[in-house]
Amino acid sequence: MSKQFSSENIARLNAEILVKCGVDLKECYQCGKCSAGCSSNWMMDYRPHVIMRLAQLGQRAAILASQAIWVCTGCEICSARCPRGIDVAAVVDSFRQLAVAEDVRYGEHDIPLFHQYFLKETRDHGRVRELPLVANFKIHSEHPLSDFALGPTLLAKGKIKLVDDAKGSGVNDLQELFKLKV
Amino acid sequence: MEYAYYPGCSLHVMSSEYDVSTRAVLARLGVTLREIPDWFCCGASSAHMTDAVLTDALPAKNLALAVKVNQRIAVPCAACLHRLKKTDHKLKNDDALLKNVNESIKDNYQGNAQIKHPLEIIQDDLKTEELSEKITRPLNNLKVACYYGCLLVRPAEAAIDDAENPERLDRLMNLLGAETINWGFKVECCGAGMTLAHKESIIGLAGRILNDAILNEADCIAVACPMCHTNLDLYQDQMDLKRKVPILYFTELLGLALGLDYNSLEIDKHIVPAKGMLLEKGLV
Ligand code: SF4
Ligand code: SF4
Repeated sequence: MSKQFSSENIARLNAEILVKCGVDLKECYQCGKCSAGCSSNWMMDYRPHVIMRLAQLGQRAAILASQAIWVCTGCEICSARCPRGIDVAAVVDSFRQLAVAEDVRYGEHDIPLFHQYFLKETRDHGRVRELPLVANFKIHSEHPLSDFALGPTLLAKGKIKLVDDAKGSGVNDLQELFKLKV
Repeated sequence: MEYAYYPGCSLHVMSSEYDVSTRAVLARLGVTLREIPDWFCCGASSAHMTDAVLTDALPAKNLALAVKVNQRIAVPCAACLHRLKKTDHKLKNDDALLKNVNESIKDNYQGNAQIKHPLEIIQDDLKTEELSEKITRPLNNLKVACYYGCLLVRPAEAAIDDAENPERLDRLMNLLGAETINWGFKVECCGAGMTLAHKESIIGLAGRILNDAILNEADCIAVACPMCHTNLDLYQDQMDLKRKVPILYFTELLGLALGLDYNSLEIDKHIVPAKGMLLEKGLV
């Protein structure tokens, strides 16, 4: 067996996921029910049961570099329907968190970028202000000009505000918990 | 009855009409809301998807601030409700985690919150007769698709209803005089936090929900979450739909049934206009 499939890799990843989210990967018997109901199955490179299988086999790097972990909406249909009671959504969360912590090359460009600027708003203002969030995100995204035309409608409808001095000061005590690069 | 009120970021600007109608109907029904002064973002999808510490720290700190106002907390956003309840459930069942989290948030939350969605407050705190007595404009002739989405019904510890066939919204709409449709997309996902991050998800996911509502001849879709509202409302122009479908907060439909003034509910803030349809049904 190649080094990739070594029993050490398998044991290490099993233990890591167990600690991170309490899921024992060995419990999965590959029925595919999670993938059948998955909201984002039509967009994923690896559907949830494939992520589970790759994880069982210790294929950490492949999962961290996948696009699937980012297009997952967090709907929790997989977890609600797994006949083995596995919290599949928590496994996906764990891999996303690991990908961010280890600064790997993401399998999706815009979505992790969005999360970063969203949390920047949270950290700096307590409450998320739509306009600066959209501006920061769009400038750095792969589709900076998409839906530009929606802007005036949203402004006219009061869905975004030009000046928003929102301040949720409760976040002040939590500043050192944020590990953002922006 | 009094509650601490956690509006959440969406209700602050983007979906302020949901804030307005929530406050209006609860006031009309004798429920007092006291906004938590220093509330801040619960972390939404972005925290739990990227950072294990923020996942619980942000909701826990908000809960600590909330219980200083009232142990009973009203949360109209399904996403905030889901985050606050998931963290609260963990903290209530794990003393070591509670101690740890309290250190990191520099506070002393005791795990003593009772977190409720306004739908629960209306249906569980009030007597049905009390509510029906106050209906002055029944929603007769209105066919409503009740959409629950993900975060009101999953997982069990955060849910306000059954995961596969929830009926709370249907029951309320029926009480108000509306007909509710049988359809297949009650608990499917609208795309959640992907609104800006990944529009392709919303076009696909919200699009198929709207198409099923159209197929089943709904006049409108009733929702109980600002994120669901935005995803179903915002991009209808860019979807392949036979017709547009007005998306209404359940608090707006309840407000109309209670005889509240149309303009005071700020329903015109929606992207897809609802007024024409409501006029036709004699509800404005
Ligand atoms: S539903 Fe559960 S047991 Fe079935 S493949 Fe998915 S995780 Fe494995
Ligand atoms: S939480 Fe993610 S993986 Fe699970 S069903 Fe929803 S989109 Fe699919």
